[in-house]
Amino acid sequence: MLQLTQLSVRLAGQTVLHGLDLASGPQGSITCLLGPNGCGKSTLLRTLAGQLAYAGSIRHASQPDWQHHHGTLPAKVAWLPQDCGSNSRLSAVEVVLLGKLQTLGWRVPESLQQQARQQLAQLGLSAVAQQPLCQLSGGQRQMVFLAQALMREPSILLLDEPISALDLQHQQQVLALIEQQTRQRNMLTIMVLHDLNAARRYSQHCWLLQQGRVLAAGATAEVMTPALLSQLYHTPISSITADDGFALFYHGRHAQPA
Amino acid sequence: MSTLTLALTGRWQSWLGRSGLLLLAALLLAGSLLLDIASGPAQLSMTQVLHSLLQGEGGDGVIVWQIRLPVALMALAVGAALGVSGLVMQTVLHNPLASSYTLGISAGAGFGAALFIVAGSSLGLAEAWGLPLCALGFAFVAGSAVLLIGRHRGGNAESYVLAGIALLFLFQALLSLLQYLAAPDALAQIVFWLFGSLYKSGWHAVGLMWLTLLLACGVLARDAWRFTALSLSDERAASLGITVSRLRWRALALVSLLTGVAVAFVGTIGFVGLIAPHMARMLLGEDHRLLIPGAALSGALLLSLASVLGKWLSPGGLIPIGIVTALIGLPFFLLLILRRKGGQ
Repeated sequence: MLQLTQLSVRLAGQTVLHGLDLASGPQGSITCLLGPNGCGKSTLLRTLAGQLAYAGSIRHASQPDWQHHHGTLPAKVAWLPQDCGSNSRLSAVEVVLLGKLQTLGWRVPESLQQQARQQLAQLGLSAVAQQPLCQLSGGQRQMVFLAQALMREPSILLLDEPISALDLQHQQQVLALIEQQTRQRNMLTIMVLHDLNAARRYSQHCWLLQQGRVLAAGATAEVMTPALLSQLYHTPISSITADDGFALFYHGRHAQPA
Repeated sequence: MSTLTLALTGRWQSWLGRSGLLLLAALLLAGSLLLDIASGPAQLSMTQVLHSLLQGEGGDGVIVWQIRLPVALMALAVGAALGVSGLVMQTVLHNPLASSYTLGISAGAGFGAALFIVAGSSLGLAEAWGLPLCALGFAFVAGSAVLLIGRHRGGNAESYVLAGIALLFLFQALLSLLQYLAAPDALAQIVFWLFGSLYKSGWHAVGLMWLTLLLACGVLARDAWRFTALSLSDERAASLGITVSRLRWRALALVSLLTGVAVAFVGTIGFVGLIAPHMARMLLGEDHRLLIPGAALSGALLLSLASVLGKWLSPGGLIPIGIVTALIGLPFFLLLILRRKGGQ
């Protein structure tokens, strides 16, 4: 479990995160981070990735000395920043290999290359393994970077809008894969999402962030309610129950039964 | 990204194929070195060159060992140094137009050298050490200034280049001021550093240049994978555990070292550092394990061929090599800008 206590971050003289007290779900579960644009979601993720100075404390069993990592990603953490549309000519498999940067030497052992190819195969990307990144679609590129993050064999996986560039089919594919890998590798996954229904379905824990403060946090089923979400996004949000029992959220007021 | 370069990289996908390409470049380089030794006011045949190289100083050996060989070896080392420093700058600053020449580091080193010629005697330093140190010092000043000003302006690709261009103008203006103030004999010496020339290279300078080159490349090679990761983007590199600002400082320090030493011995030579990395990238892709030697080889080849061309253009006149590389390099530079505008 990841425990944040009185976590504050200042950027360019302005306080962006105001004394957050948050606890994630246990290892093997997904915690989802929701909130309107500019509420500090990415800042929080970048702070957890060791990129920003902060006040307060961050605690996790795998990483007792978070504070010492300022400026550098902690060893047991993988972080997938929002896609910046890289135009690189590196091949997909080379990009995945970079996930093992710390162990890469002048010669790359065959076992490591094999691991990179397997990682791509798990995501159904074997066919494009040798293609340059610049020739892949946005969705494929995102999945290549996910494969790269998994190569780090992290205890904590930080994902910043991992499905924003994907069509519906690929969104489901990637989320199912994230869920499966989170369980299989007993990782703690913390994920920024904008899709409420995806968040409801795939996360067990949920943090709602508004203007750098915690609006609500807890088990997804308890936190993701139309009332709280409407308050979070300053717009009416209603829900119905889908066939499989999950709540489905939509924009607008619930039609009053006649 | 043109289809041509993709087709080319496709064919050279395997490590083996791309390593073979490096071997081919090394062979070309050996040929160019022999051609460079053979060319000059007294034209030698290839057999004469090979014979003198193997037999030592006797007959034509004096020309070969005392004059031609140090100059030809200097061309290789300086070309390689400029090629590698251009590559590293383009990678760490995310800009295809970056090189130590376009971003003012060469100009800084040139100003340092000129300052020593004008004012160095009053410092009581010997020229053999004082001048390279002064050039090196100002190369470091320029390199640090590019990083500091660029970061202050937001740290994106454009801000570093704008900072570099500002420094280029500053050091050029300071150099003009020195020229205006300098005594006639000092002025003649300063002009040498302005144009760049290989003809002052003695064995002492050649040795130091090669030592610097091998040392710097050795250190840079340790970061090869980190450079490859940085070629994706700053944030992607950070997400792989790289402390980007530290890597950038380390890289710029080595670029300043390579540039400072090169300028101290042969003056400012432009465009090699800009074009050589692009040639290497086109053929080898983005893997810096291959790109670092690749940029060194293509830089060395370019400067060596420019040296030969200079001798052919003016057999007795010894045109400064900086003018030759500028004349060849400028069209390539324009091509790069036009290609970039068209969107890659």
